[in-house]
Amino acid sequence: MNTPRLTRRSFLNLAGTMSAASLLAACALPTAAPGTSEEAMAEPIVIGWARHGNEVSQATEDTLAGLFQEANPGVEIDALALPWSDYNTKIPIDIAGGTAPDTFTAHPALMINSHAAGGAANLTERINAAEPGINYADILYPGDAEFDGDIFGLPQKSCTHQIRYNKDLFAEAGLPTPGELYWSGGADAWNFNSFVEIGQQLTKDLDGDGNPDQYAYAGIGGTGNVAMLRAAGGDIFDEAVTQCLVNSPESVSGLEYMLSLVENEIIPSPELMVNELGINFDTGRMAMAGGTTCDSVQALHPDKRLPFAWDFVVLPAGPGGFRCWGDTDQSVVSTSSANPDEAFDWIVFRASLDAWEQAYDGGMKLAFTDGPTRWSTFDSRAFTEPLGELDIPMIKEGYRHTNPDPFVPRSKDPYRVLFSIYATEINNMLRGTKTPQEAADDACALIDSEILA
Amino acid sequence: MATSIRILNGTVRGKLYWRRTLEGYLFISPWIIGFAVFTAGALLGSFGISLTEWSIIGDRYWVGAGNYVKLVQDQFFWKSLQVTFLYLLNVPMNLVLGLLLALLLNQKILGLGVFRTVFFLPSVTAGVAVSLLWLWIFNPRFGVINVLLAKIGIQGPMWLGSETWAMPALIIMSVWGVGGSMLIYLAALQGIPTALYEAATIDGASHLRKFLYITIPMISPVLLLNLIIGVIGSFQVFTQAFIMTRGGPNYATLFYVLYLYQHAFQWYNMGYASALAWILFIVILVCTFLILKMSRDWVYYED
Repeated sequence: MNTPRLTRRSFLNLAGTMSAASLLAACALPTAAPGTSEEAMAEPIVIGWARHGNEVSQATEDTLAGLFQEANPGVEIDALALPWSDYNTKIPIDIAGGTAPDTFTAHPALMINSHAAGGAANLTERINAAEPGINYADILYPGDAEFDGDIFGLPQKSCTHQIRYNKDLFAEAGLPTPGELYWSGGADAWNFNSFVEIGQQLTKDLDGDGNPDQYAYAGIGGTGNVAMLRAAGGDIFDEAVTQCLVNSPESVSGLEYMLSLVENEIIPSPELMVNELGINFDTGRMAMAGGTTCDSVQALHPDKRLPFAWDFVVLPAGPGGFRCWGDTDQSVVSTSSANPDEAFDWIVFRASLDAWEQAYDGGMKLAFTDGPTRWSTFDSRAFTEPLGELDIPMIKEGYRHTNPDPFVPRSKDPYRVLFSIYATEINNMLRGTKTPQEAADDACALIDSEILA
Repeated sequence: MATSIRILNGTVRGKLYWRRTLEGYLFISPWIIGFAVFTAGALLGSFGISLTEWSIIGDRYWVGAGNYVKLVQDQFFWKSLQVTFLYLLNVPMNLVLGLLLALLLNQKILGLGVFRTVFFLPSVTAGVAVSLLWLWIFNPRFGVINVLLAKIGIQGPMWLGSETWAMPALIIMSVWGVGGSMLIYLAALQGIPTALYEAATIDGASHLRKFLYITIPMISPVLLLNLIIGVIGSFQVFTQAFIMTRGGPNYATLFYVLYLYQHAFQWYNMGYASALAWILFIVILVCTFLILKMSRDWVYYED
């Protein structure tokens, strides 16, 4: 019986044909689908929208897009949420290639770069034309999106970086909470000095082995150390961003204060890596720790709830007063967008209180996934009802104390300044390998040679 | 028969040759196209980028050799190069340890397969997971190393938190991946003809002499291979520093590739990062060339 056989020749012919077909297909340019002009008219305008985030963010954006589309028939929002690192690679490359989504989120550093590269459209005229409906005065941190008096973005979310404190540990130690101190006496009660006094009572050696197993404060990492420097009256740069001020007397006094916190064991030395030991805020062995008012609130979710009561407070006041770190992820309209009008309409909706309240009425709590975009958000039930366990007026205080606005220095390579050069020298000082003055001088020398030169 | 004759006189042989050549190229064409587009194309592209100032976003500005000149004046470039060369110390250590392990696992003992698997497993474990594990091992207070040192009355160092000890810690950690080279040694050891050892035994050679005069020469091509792989791998080290130290403390673990990554993807200096990448390419090329050149004196090839 003859069975069909694939001969070597026929196999090679088939393989060759398939390879050629694949190559041709790969090289082919996509073409527009044929259709009548009526069909083309009926096609919705698709607005690309990208933000960094996770699958929850994707669901959030899809829901908001649905609400927008209901009110704007004929416009479709194609939302995409990408993880932080992917986002920060993809979007700049898309901008460079002229294929950026119509609208996208720009965190402060990306905002600065997008503006410098001409990737973000100037929205000033559109915003002026949309007043008073847009109520721009209600926007949080407008400065993050302003360049030379023009506006290049509307907020997707704004956050402050505050201190979270474990109410149970304060009660156990018989201490007033930072929130009580703040509201009762402001800077007179919640300041650098009271922070040290309280902190000394909250660092404890629980097992008696001579080493603390519970610390008062997690440490001055990332954004907190700049806020503390500013609370001491110092700063990274002068206003024109032409001079490093880290080694100014005010800044050095701030560094000395940070060092005293380590020397008094109020915060662990960075080299101890106590987080890896399970000594952190979530385990209840850290009385206070940094936290953003956008992300930390997720600990109120039933499935992420911490096993103790906690709240927010702004960083203690120093000689420079209260200073909070705060920043905004701006929604910008790409200069390469073919539909800037519809893209602008979307970001206006995305920054509106309506979006929050319509979403909340539909069962979605933006308060858990996004920070507020407007001052009026703090009075909205969409914010107060989900976060009612927290001191909402204190959260609002954080925004009030975010000064200057914008908080990120508009230098070249702002993240290199903050999270590499400055952070390394702070670390050197806290480890005891440099004095505050040496660390400050070295930071300025590097900033001068690497950034300002 | 007729075909054979024609093949012998060469007329049809030419046709067949070309047809088979074409078939061969057809089969490898996916790889060739992939190489041309994604490797060679990207290489040339990155060289072009290295001659520009480009923040990914926005226009590129031609700076010619400017990035390369700047690089020579960049203290962090030299620091990262110094750190990376220092890390090369792990290579001889791992060469010796890998060989010792392979010698041990080349014995006929019970549970040999289990031992081989156990020693090789770390090599196939994800780098991020390994880094997190070693973060615990090196913890100055509760890490297993310092706990054991404390038991014999030694106060362990701060390891990753110490400018002095961070690099030795990462070199120690590199032992974790010794299973890869061990496996290659093992294959080479098993390829040595037993007749050589038998002859040496009859001649009264000791174990040491057999190791020095039979084993080492016979596996010397594999030693060379592991040396080159080790050197190239050390120049490209990234994950450990990225996860465990972020280049600190005080730039003590600022590996070259980490610095390159920072410029490219954290600070958006793509032109400068491309220049760094090309210098790394040249450094690796020179090192590999030197090793191969010197290998003529100590590598034995049977043929």
